[in-house]
Amino acid sequence: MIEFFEALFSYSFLQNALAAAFLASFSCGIAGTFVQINKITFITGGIAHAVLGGVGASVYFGFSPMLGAISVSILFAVILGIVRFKGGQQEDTVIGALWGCGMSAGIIFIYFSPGYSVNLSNYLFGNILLVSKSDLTALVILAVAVFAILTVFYRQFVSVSFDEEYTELRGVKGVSIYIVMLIMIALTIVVLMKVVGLILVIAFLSFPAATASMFSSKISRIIALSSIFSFIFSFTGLIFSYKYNLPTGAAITLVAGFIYIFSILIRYYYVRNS
Amino acid sequence: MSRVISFENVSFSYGRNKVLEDIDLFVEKGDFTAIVGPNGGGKTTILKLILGLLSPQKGELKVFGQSPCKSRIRTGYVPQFSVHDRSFPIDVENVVMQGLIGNTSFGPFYSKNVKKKVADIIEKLGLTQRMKDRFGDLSGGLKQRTLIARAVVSQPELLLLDEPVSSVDSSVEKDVFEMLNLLNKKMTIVLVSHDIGFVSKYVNKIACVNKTLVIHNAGEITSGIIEDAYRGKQVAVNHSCGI
Repeated sequence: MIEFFEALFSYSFLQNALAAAFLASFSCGIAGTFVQINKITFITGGIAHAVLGGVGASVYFGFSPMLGAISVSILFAVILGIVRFKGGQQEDTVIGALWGCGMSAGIIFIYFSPGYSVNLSNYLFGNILLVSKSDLTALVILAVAVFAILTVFYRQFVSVSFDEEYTELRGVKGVSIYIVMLIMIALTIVVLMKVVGLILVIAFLSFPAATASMFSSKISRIIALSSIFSFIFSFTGLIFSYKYNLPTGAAITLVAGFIYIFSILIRYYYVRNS
Repeated sequence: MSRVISFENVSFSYGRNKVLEDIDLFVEKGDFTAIVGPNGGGKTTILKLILGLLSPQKGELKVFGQSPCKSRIRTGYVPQFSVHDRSFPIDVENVVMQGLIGNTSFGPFYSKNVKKKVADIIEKLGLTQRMKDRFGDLSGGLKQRTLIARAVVSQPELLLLDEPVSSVDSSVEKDVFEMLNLLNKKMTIVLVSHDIGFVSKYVNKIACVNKTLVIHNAGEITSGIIEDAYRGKQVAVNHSCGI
């Protein structure tokens, strides 16, 4: 533990990693709470995996992968938002199709881009230890965007999550609000891509909010608590990863999973004895 | 009296399945109308048409003389409470505030004015003690009260209720109807119910729907010698709409 803190002061890559973990936790607490209360893990998974298509295309055509990820995630958020309201029974199929096709397109693009095959795993599993200064700037902008969207639309998001039909009946454009909420989640996915990777995004978005909702039944508190949990998970994961030379994304997600299961057990014990 | 709802020759089908056929329904200001009928008879479809959530394939439908989508802001709606996720983290106060979401601007907090209106209606409906309770943890009767509070906090001119007493016990049922009776002094009410007996004590019009629609004037049927307590049965017996 002490050696980690000593290293933290001397290595800038660890400082960057910690800053990235902080920004990711902040966004994750916000977006994860809405994923949890809306029960839209599948949509979130769909966007996360399809983002690889954007990353692959940017690598192939020589753009910034972050920019590709942001554009594709927003595009899919809009499509899935519309499908949710207009697609009827087809919703699941469309999500599955975008999930698979987006990811496959990404793999093929990266396959044809010489010299990039090694980096594929960084997008899929994340590597917080490779976060650069320019990545950090992008993460700050994304985190600020996520927070700004939440601040402006908080009440509308809560309303549409609880009862979308009623929100629509009160003269609020439910579809638009829902799409803005998915865009907020999509931007968070891009932030998390750097930390835990696209494949583990669903787990990392779910665990902190699920753990937090055991301790509070107020949405604003769940958001704050899951941000804190999320930071504890990523910080602990980072220490393990550094000390035992483990893949960071997997270490962070496993820590989150263990603490979640531990919380369930504590809660079960507490409920049984009270 | 001014007309609040008018259906003229309205037909509606879900795909090939015809649910409503050439129905006429007129609701005047101050009416307390019950729509009764068997499951799948088209009761909820009528409410959804009035709210503009569905549009008729044939016929003309006006609410406050306008298309339903335009008039929905003047309407309060109480859905069946079973549609809500029980684990959703929201308290009674915030559910009621949702009734004013259309009138408020963006930003994370509700204004003082909204909070005051919500506190007033919560007090009127006797929910002050439960204001901070999680909605999903409430009993059926209290959930129903909360949803009625949400619907009337915007002071609508028309209140629509979908099976307001479907899963509550009979004392709560009486309670809900007494409350609606009071609200009826200020607003027109249309409710959907499967229980014709209880409903007919309080309403002045009963619309029986089973693909087609027949309107009965509850007052006419029950006037005269029939005891209040038997009204329900009498109305049921006199109906000729096959339910």
